[in-house]
Amino acid sequence: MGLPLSMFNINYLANPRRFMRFSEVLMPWLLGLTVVLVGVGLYMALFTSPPDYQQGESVRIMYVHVPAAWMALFGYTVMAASAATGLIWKHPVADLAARSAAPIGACFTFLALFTGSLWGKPMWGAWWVWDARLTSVLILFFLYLGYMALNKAFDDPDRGAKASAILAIVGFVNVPIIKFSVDWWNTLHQPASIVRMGGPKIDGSMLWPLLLMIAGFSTWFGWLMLVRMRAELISSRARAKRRLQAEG
Amino acid sequence: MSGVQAFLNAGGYAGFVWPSYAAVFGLLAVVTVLSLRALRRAEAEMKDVDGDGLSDGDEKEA
Repeated sequence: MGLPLSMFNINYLANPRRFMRFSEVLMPWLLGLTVVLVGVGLYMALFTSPPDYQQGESVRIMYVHVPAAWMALFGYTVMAASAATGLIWKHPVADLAARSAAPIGACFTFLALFTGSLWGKPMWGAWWVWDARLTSVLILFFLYLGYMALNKAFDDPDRGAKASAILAIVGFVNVPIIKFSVDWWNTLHQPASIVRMGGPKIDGSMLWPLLLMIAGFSTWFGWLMLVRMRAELISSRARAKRRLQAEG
Repeated sequence: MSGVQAFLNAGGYAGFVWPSYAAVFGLLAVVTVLSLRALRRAEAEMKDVDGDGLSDGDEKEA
């Protein structure tokens, strides 16, 4: 029995061997960038950025809360796009990308909710309120969990990939809802301050550490995703080889 | 209050600021360690099968 490797030759990164080479080159860069960006961002967030005139030192939570929330949305977008690519063009590497992005995105979503709660208590007087932004992010967290559960729910991994891909794509409707929730509804959560018409409305002393942390979390996300994808690819190949050897 | 104490006190918000940073970097560290461990395990598994990692065997397969 040979491995049906011809199915992999659809286009560039859909070929696992090319993906292995590509990721091998990219990973050290992503790791290096993560260390530098998060290192400098963290230093600026904690030491050089000023306290807020209304929120005082509690504003420092922003430098981890906002990047985590961006990664929650970025991760879901990557996951849904990869899942759609896997579903439509049957790229096995795309399915693998979606599967690898899901737990990382879920972690960032949890962190956005958790740090938001820690920020909400001193500023709003409540750990949690059922406003549109918070509720839609909680739904995002459940969509991630649902995707991961559905992906593993079938004996046939292809069926799991297909079913969970459909959930990921349908659930993507939640991403713009989260983004615009603060405009569409009256929320306790503050409206957008960075990506908005008329440009950012935060001062540079706060905007720079925030952008550095967002960039650092993005490269961290990418690096983690490649590590997880490589792990699964290598492991499934080792298993396939072992099967081949056993069959002689 | 000394400079370090003032910094750690975070204007009275220490109980909210530091748990946020600890949660973020703690959880990300756990995910990083688990992901790297999975990669090391997979590489060891592959080595176990053919002794030479991913390179040669794969070229032949394709």
